[in-house]
Amino acid sequence: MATILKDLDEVQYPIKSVDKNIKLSAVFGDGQKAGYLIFLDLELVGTNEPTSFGNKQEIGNKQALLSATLTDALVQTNWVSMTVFIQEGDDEKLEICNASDQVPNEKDSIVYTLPIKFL
Amino acid sequence: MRKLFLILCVLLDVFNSVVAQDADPKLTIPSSPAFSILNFEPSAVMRPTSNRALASDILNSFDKDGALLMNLGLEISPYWLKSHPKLTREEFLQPSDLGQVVLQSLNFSAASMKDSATGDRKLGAGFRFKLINGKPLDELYAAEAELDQVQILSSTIGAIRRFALQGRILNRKAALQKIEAALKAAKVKEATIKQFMDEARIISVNYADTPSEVVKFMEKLMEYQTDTNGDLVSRVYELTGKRKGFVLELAGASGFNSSHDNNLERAGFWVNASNYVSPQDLFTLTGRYMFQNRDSAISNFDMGLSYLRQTETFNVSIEGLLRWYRAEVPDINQGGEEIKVLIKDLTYRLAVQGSYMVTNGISVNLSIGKDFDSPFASSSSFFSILGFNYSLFRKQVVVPGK
Repeated sequence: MATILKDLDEVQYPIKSVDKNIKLSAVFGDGQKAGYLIFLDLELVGTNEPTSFGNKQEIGNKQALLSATLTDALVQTNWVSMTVFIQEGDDEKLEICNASDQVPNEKDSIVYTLPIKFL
Repeated sequence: MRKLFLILCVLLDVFNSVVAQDADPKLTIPSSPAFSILNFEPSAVMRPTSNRALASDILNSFDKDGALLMNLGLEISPYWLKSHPKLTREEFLQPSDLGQVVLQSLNFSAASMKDSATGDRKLGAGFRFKLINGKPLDELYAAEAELDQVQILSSTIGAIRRFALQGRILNRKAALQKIEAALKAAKVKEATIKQFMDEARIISVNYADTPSEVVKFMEKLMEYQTDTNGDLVSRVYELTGKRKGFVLELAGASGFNSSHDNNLERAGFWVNASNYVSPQDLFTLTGRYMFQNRDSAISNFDMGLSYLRQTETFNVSIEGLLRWYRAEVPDINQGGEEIKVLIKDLTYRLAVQGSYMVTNGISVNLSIGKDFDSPFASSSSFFSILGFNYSLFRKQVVVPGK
């Protein structure tokens, strides 16, 4: 049983709207057990749920970090996967990252960290 | 101990006075129908988990002349050969439609073997899948709630490590403060936070106050976190595979003799309906059809019901099966002509099986009952088998800090 640390490349996201609320969320696949945290700069702002940050004026040039732990809890597969979305107001969700890996052994975990720079 | 041994010898002597027969035709679907239909457990079983591994396993199943290697087994769950990013935990545990239940449980098996008596090469192929798969146990959700807290801890360590890699956290004190603040904001239990922070402070003395040392410190903390929570992860892993309620499963398999024009030698079809009325009490209704075409052609249709009670220290099962069989046996009549004798009958099997765990790693097993009557033998079909299981190598549980 081991935990693998995987640093995902920073995503640079240019905010399109001026006054719409920016929301970040993550979906975990392959039937695995996962949990995540969202930080804005160094402060924790969300735990295991879609998180709103504010509008462009409030978060422009700030950095968010999504840190997620995915644990292989299935005998059927060692695949783990994460898809991250950004939504502006009620606009359609935009997929900004998808990560997928096969952990080497049963019950291993992987910790993905994904920095998101708002422009 | 000596007294116990003498008692067991006496018991064995009593049980040897009746004919011991196969006491283990359990009312369950074989885990690998292809192996079961050949009555064979391959020395090597390939279980590819990706398309690439499947291709590699298939290539490795042939020798340099292109002939299929013998004594090999292959089990494939096609759905699980690739990643499914949209399959959430909720959908996996309680699929919303029948198709998803079938896809998640569909499994194919294949086996090759060389018959040591005749030298014939035999092939088996089989499948199994579920139509209804019950519900997850309540214990799973309780264990997952505990794992939530562990995953918050791991995600926090991962985040602080990344901040240190970015040069945004420069020393151990800042790292520890950020961890504690994040855990409190995430509403992790006070006792869990205190225990973790105490350990983190002890570990921190081995590192210096530079970003690269903070990264190493976080990686060490992650190791500690992984080691500490191994048992919980194992519990979630095991509970994920357990179900309660009604489960309906189907399987089929056929065996061929490739040395004789791929003749169909055996075929089988199983239907199992089981119901966990409580986590310890399982009822299973089984129907199965078996066909064998060798010197004699025999077909059996079995229908049976079993009850299993499982506790921490003992398991007891009771099973009853009815069998309709039909056998065509080659013979020679008084005129010297080759004929086939048709035998048809109804027989039954009743059995009680129990196992008792004496200590961790040692258990006593007893099976007693009446087996099916055979169309080819007239001996007693009563059986009793007493056995022991002893595990030579047991996992040692290490309690951190002791």
